[in-house]
Amino acid sequence: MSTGLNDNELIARVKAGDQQAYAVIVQHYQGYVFTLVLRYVPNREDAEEVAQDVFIKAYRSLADFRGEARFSTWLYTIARTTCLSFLRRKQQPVHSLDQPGIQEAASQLSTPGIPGIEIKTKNELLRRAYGLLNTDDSTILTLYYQAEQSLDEIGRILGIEPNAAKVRLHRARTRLKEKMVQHFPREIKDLSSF
Amino acid sequence: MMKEDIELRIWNFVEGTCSHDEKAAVQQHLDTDPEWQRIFLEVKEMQQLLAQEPELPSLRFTKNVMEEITRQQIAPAAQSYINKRIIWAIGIFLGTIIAATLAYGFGQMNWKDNSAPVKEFKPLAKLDNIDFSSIFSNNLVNGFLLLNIILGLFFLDRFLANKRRKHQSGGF
Repeated sequence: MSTGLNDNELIARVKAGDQQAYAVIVQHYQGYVFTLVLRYVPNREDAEEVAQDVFIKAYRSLADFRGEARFSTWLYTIARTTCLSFLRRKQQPVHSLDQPGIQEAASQLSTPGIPGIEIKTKNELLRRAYGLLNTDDSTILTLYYQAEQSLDEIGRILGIEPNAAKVRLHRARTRLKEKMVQHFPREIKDLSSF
Repeated sequence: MMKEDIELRIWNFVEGTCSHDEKAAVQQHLDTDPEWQRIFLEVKEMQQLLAQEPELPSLRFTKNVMEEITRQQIAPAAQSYINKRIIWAIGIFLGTIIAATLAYGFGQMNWKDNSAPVKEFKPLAKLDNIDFSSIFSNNLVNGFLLLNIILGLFFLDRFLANKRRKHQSGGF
């Protein structure tokens, strides 16, 4: 469904009344937004509902997008605030790094090396490892590695300085590695054979 | 050097977030040090693992969104319905009130009182010279001042909220 138009050109067409141009945007960003939402809302059905809500909110607010930042950065900011509102409505706690004992609790709740369940792909391994991290860590890793946002853009989305984003990103990577070593040692050894 | 430091430097190296000099220094270590080479391979593996394709929602996702979009309209930009003239008028009104209050206060001061010796501490204004009782005994004035305080707090709150929002959005 590629039209050869860039985001800003597509948005100009949507603003001019061409609703179908928005379908191209949705098609392109659905995976990124859905993956980001999954970091906050692990249930796939809920995540899909929230992701739909993100695109509808973005459409209604399109007049506020002035093109000074990348469209994706603006969209992910909406995705993050929509997720936080959803969690607030559902009263599900967002696990922050600052919360004492959260990492220990996560380790206890996790299901490492479930017998009989084999991790066959890197994607599956990554999804399981993300599940062991807190939301702050998995969000920043998703924004950087899957949503392809720069540190400046991550700073804008999370409301922090780019340097703080860099530090947080490194800490998140370290923690992810620790979790993988702790819970998936066999899979890490076989990583190159996936 | 600790393993964590080496790892951080190698991450910055592979992701191109370090300076040219730092890049050359890391490259030199990688050319000569087996420990650095081992960590480099670990980092590369981790980087490949992290760069997986995003997950996809159900096949009906786009269709569902577009069905909802047909019932929606793009809202006018926030800037278009905020009338700046009203904001300015309120600002001028508040400024005038503050200026009038200050002018009245200064008007009550005794500027020509030279009775005290020069080196002795002398306050600029003798507060007891101002007859506050005649001002604040009036309910209308009291109500007016209270209203101004509430308005002031309201606008301060709006100002701080806008500032925070601008900082978070970074201006899109």
